[in-house]
Amino acid sequence: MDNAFISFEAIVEKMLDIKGDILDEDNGIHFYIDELEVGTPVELDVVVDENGKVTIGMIPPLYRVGTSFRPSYHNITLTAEKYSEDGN
Amino acid sequence: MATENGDNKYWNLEDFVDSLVVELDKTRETLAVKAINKQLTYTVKEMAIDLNIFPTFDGDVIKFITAQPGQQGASKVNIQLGSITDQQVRATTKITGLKSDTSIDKIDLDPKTKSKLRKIGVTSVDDLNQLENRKVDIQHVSDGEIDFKTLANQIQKSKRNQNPPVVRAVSLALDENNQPYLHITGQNFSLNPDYPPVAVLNNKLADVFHSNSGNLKIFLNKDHLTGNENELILTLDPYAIVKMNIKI
Repeated sequence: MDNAFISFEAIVEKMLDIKGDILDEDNGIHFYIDELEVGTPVELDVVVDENGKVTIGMIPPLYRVGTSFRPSYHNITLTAEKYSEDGN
Repeated sequence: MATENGDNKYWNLEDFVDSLVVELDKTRETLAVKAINKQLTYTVKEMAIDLNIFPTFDGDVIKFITAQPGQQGASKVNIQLGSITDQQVRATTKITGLKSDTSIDKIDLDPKTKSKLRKIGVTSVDDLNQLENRKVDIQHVSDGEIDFKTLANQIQKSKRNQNPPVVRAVSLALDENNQPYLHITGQNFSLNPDYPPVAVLNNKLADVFHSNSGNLKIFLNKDHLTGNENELILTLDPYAIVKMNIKI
């Protein structure tokens, strides 16, 4: 996989590495995010080995410069929910 | 038309989705560990991915190649993965690799028939039997290319080849009425009760009065034994014929 890309597992972990709760002790308010949806365009690097095994690398847009030669942006949308011990 | 270049190669949709699922499983495992110390963590419930791809069809398999920078006119494929619980997995997934079941990969069938069977969701002999039990006309759903009887015969033949008859010993004996009989011991003789074994000794039919998987007993009379060398042909079922010379 090209060094500019990161594994799908890593990108999901980074996307979901959020604090998740909003605490205002002065006003006695505690919110937490129950479910979230993250969508982003990504560039893909799909590597196929000699046995046909596929490894997927992806990276959100790296440059914010308008060019005539555009990267091919795919889209990924993740819906995540609060994790509970029973795995549901 | 996009072509393979450098690392950009054609891939199967199944392999692509497999890779996504493996990565999602890894994520779930990591998050489960993380949740031990951090109370508020998140796990993937659903995932959708829109791909810009160019498909190609070689007459049998559809493969895809990912659109590269600057390539126009790509097709869109949307893949949506939802997570399911282990209970749902158990309810919706067939357990593969059971000892009693035989994969069609292990049966000596021509690749075209195997491919046709896979297309109609048949991957094992058990799948095929279920279709037969439900009176599904396989010939019709396979556009007349698969005939169940022919297929069943090929499967039986293949299964029989995996359990060939083995002769360990042959002996002469007398029954309680002093009638001579040939006692053959070994394994995998009579496996199907629908097909009683038939014995021909020196071109004359002989009476098989006892048969099971490990033993065969064949009555003899004076017409059967013509000399020192005796040719015995045993037809155990339509797929197993044993020919041997017995010296007496």
